[in-house]
Amino acid sequence: MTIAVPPPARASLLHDTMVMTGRTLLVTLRYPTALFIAVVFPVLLLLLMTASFGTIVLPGQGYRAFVNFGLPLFAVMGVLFSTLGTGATTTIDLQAGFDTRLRTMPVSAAAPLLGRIAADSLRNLMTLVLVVAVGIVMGFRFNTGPASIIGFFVLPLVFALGVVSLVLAAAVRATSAESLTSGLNAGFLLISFLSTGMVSLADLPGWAQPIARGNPVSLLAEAMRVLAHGGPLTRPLLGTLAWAVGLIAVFGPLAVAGYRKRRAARQ
Amino acid sequence: MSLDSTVLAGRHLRLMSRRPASIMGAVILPLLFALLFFTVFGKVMDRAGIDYIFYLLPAIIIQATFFTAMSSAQLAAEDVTGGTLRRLRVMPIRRTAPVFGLLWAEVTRAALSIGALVPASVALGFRFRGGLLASAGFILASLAFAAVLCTCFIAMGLTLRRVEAVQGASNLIYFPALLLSNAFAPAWAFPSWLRPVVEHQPVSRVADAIRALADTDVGLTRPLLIATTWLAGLLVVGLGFATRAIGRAA
Repeated sequence: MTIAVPPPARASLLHDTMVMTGRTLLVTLRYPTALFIAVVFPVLLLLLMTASFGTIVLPGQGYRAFVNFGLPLFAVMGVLFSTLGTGATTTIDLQAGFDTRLRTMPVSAAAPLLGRIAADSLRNLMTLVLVVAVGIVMGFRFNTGPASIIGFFVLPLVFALGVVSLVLAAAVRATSAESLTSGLNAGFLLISFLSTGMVSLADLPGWAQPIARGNPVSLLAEAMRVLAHGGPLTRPLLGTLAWAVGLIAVFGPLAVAGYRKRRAARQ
Repeated sequence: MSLDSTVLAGRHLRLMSRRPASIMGAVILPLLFALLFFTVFGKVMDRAGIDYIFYLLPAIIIQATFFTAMSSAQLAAEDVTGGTLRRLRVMPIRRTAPVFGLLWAEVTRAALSIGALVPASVALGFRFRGGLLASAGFILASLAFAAVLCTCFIAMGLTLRRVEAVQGASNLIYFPALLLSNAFAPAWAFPSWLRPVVEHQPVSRVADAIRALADTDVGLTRPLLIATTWLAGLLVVGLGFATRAIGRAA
């Protein structure tokens, strides 16, 4: 007589990552602050900054001109500040022992981190589509071809992979979600403002111009403007990609190493 | 200010000093916003004929006051859900002491923000153009705004109770109230259909009064009267809701 023994449960990287992606998206959707930053915050920025500063930044050109000029930055700010939510929930999960619990189960070791990164990208895509949709109602237009328009959406997602590497590297080492987000918040504000996203380079004071020139947020916003409206693409595109690759190369391994250590230490 | 309130204010100030986000919100973020707004928009505002650091300081004070008010709403909600209010209710203290204690602590925090912002703005080129009395009025009016705004936000925190709901509501009030006002950019820059709202809403009216107190050779009576009326009205509404909510929460 033979007894049917069920095959041992096996970890599948793809399946487990998809499950973790879904779980992270659910956490985001049920966490009002995270949803607010991904959905409402960039749209409010676009609406309110255009209404208040539009004709001051671009005098005589109308609000529509500022929407076309400023939209990339406000979309990027939505993406940038949303990664804080990914970081905060990761720190909370690690403190609660969620990832240690997963370790005792037949779950692929890479899935928890990969799932969080995939969920981060999907949420970012949602933010970009939403900001562009509102922008189009306000007068935002693409004057380029389909390839450039696809690039307009893909480039910020690629850059966000670098940002989320940095945020996760910090999140796996943070003692509390609050200290993590308040520290990174200030840094993200600095690079968002000291950029050419809201005013042109010539309108910044002399000391801020070199910072704004090399700032990845400036490069990304300029590349997105070019991808939407045309112009010389090489410098902002290569600059953005260089930042993304650099951030991933430096902080990706740091995030993985810190995550392994933290999960093993169970705190 | 009763002794009970003072003791509870001390408790809140100790709690705040142990929260990194609270110190960030009270001092570091306002300083950062002052520097960033001045850096990014100084030149374009100059082109539009506005001395931006003079225009900006009241805006940043109002923004910092919003940060303080948002923190007061959250602390109030935490005291309801955490059971602190119920615990205090069974003790021989005044029933309103928890509200006034929190209010007193938050106004102290607002004073700290102003104390950091004024010297930093002077370093960036801000000058009080009026006399000593008007300048003292500038600080007092800012603190009065802080007291009223915190009362309203504490009432909101006590009413909504859930911390997440309070954070969401705070953000939904903060962005439009601040950015659809003349705090950061003058009303004439807004689209004409929005201008009436921007000019008459309370944050703009308070900004008008505070700016008039820092300025010279401008009429003070009208802006001060309008701002005082708004603040008095908001205070009555805030106190009404707070009293109602504390009866239910405890």
